[in-house]
Amino acid sequence: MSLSRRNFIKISSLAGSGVLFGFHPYIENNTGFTFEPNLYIKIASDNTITLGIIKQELGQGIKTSLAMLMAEELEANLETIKTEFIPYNKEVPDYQNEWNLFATGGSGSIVEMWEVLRKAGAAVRDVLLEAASQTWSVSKEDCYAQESFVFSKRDSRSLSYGQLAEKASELTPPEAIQLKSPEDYKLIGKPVIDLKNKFVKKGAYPYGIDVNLPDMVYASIVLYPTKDAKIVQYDASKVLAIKGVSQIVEFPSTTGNIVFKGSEAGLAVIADSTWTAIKGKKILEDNIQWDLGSYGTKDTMSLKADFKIALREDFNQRGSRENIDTAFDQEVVKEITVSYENPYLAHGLMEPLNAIARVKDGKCEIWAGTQSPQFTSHYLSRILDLELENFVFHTYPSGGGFGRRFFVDYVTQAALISKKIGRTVKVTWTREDEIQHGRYHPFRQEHYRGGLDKDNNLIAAHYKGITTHAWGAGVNMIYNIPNYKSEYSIRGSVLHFGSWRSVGAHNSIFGRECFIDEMAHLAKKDPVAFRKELLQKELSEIEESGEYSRGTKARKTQIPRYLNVLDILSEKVNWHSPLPENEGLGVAISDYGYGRELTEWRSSVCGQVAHIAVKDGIWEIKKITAVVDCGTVVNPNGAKAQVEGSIYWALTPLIYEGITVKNGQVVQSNFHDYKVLRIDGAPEIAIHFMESDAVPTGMGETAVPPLTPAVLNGIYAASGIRVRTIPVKELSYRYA
Amino acid sequence: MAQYSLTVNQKRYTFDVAPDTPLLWVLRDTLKLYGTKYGCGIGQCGACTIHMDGLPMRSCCLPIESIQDKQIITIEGLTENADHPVQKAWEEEDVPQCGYCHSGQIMSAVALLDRIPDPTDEDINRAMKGNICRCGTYPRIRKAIKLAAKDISS
Ligand code: FES
Ligand code: FES
Repeated sequence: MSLSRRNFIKISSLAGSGVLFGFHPYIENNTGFTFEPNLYIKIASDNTITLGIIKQELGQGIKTSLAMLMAEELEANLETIKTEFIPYNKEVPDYQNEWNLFATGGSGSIVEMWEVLRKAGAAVRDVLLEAASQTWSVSKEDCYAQESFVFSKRDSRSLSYGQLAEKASELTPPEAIQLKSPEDYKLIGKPVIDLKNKFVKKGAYPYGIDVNLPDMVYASIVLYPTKDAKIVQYDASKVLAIKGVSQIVEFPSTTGNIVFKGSEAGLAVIADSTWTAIKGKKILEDNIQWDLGSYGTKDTMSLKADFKIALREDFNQRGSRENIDTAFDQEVVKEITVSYENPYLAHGLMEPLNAIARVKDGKCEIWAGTQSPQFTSHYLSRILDLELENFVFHTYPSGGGFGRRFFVDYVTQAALISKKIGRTVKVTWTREDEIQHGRYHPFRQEHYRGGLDKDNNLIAAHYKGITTHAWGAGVNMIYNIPNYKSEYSIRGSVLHFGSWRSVGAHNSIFGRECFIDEMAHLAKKDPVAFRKELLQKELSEIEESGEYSRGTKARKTQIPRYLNVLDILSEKVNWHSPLPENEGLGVAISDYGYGRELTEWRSSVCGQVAHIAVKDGIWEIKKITAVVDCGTVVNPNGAKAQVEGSIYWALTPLIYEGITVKNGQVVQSNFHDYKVLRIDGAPEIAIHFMESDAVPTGMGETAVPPLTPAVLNGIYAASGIRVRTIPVKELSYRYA
Repeated sequence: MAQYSLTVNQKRYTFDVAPDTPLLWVLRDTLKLYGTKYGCGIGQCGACTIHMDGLPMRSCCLPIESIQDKQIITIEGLTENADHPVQKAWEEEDVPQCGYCHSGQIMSAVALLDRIPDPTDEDINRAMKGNICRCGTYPRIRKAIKLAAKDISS
């Protein structure tokens, strides 16, 4: 059956207790699905409205912003809206699609749901108006909807949506859907308090770790310490002697080529409580003899040595303009060669990873917080050899995602263990597990050689990136450099890789924005003016060429936004006004998010200025100012929170040591030696959103990448000290 | 295993656990009070903060055998209607993002205001730096504490 606009919505009666409107997010793009609703709006007779959503709550306030999108068009009272997370199972119409919209990442939820939820709200409102007009025998134009009621324009009659539900369930959905124009928004763009916070404040918001099933046992795990470690022997007797420990089971490695979903091999201590299991795990760790395998000799030093070798070897070429060598030989009069480096980083997400699995009688049921219930189910169905229709994944809010929960090793473990013991099992990671068995932000270096001609124009640059993982390798060089060569090299990683809030942009923007800053100073030009000049040049070249590839089309949309953001940013911080001695401003800008056809390859642009003071070997952040263009701001409260969170997220690795490796294993183990930002280190932040009614683009990560270069450029402006490796070791950080 | 008694949120409980079981896991696994969170297990993050005889403590570091006959208050027992000035301010300032750290943040903030009704920025830093928030809600925590302080003083 092909999907017409008419079938976008499906109405069913809830047998006297209300009405259910189902709708499908793929409606505009895909045909060929048997149409069954993927999302729903339930209106109960008591006028409560329930929105079933397929996006996962990770702290980005998605429940609230999605409810706002629907309520805007539905003319519903936001206070009375409940949201439900739809479990992943065979009831989901496109559950066979491993990459369907249940996946939550890449700052994409609002982009993906913007159209569908507003259309759904509008369609439901239309049906309710129709129901009222029939009830009152007046024309639809004589009715209007407001705050979950339909009112008559002619007299004082009104009916709640709940009262109209029964009637609505007999109607057919409208043919055409009219969406509001931005000036009529009542909710979108207004600050709304996160709907979950009335539960959070009393400790009543349930995360995966809080799920309690009557038949479950508890497991704590010991994972193999290196990528190819083996067990020589272990003594289980002391563990089994603990009262409450029932058994120790081994589970195999399922990483192979799909680290994304698989897990390292390990052992699980099964017990009658979390604490007993953790106690057993600690004793077991002391009683295992490992063969650390080929990775056992690797450490941070050997990794750096390998990167040095890489620098001399062949690179993968990404893009090249003109002849770089001739340019350097013949035209360049001043040049620099510089390298930037960031360490492996762990997530340290607040809620330790956990999952409950019940693999029994040919079925698999999961309870967990994740960013990807859909491919987890698909993957598990393959490794457990169970049909996908026998899966149910109950998703729970997560105490932080940040990319870590896109990787579902912890769910895989629960499923493997449950299958082995034939019981429902709750696996809870310790903090040590999380720091030592992460899916790490890659260790990476950005090497640049840049040259100016006799008139101080940036005419040549050679970029070489070296990284431990391919994701996000390379750099989006948005600035115009007539002779430019871009290469990258992927080296074997000692640790497993992962996506870490803003993924490759964190490293590549660090390099790009520091390099451009260094070139500006070499050219004795103002860093903002220098950026603008190169952006303008790039834009005019693209416009002149008149040929738009996907890449240049994106630039054509993005560069004007960069320029506007830079203008507002300089205005907000009084970029040109003099500062006291030992103080300086550093600027950086980037865009982040995956372009979609829907958004004309738009993604959010964020510029930041760090006001830095350096004195007596101490660096201090006086203030961070961020200007963001994310199109329409749906919920300013939430969007601001994402900027604040992103800035502090990126600040941690500037101050504190990242992950280091010894004997193939992570040295750090908990928050005492893997330190993270605390309240006394959190500087003042000022945030400004560009006025825009364009399609909204993602906010979850966009403010991460500019922070590092803005701060390092600011340190340079304040002190003349150029820091190129994070964390900053040349100076110490000043706490409040 | 041994038998222990404890008063949690004004209610007396008696249960059997191993003597070294931290209060955190007694609350969560034995008493099924899930508001108190596990974050690090070593007193570094503050997610497990509760009040013991009125003082903020990290429940992950309190073996049950060492806290006999103490009065424990958890986030669930702080108020009946979630209307402590700190709780109200937390919602009004829209503090939580993922929310996971905030049972602990709120318990620390309440204890701070019990001790210092009108805290300075420095007081706030000192009292709150034991509570990590990976979502970065720090500026809102500060604002909410100040708002709650105003509410209490008026
Ligand atoms: S869990 Fe107790 S301080 Fe972290
Ligand atoms: S709100 Fe997520 S850790 Fe604090």
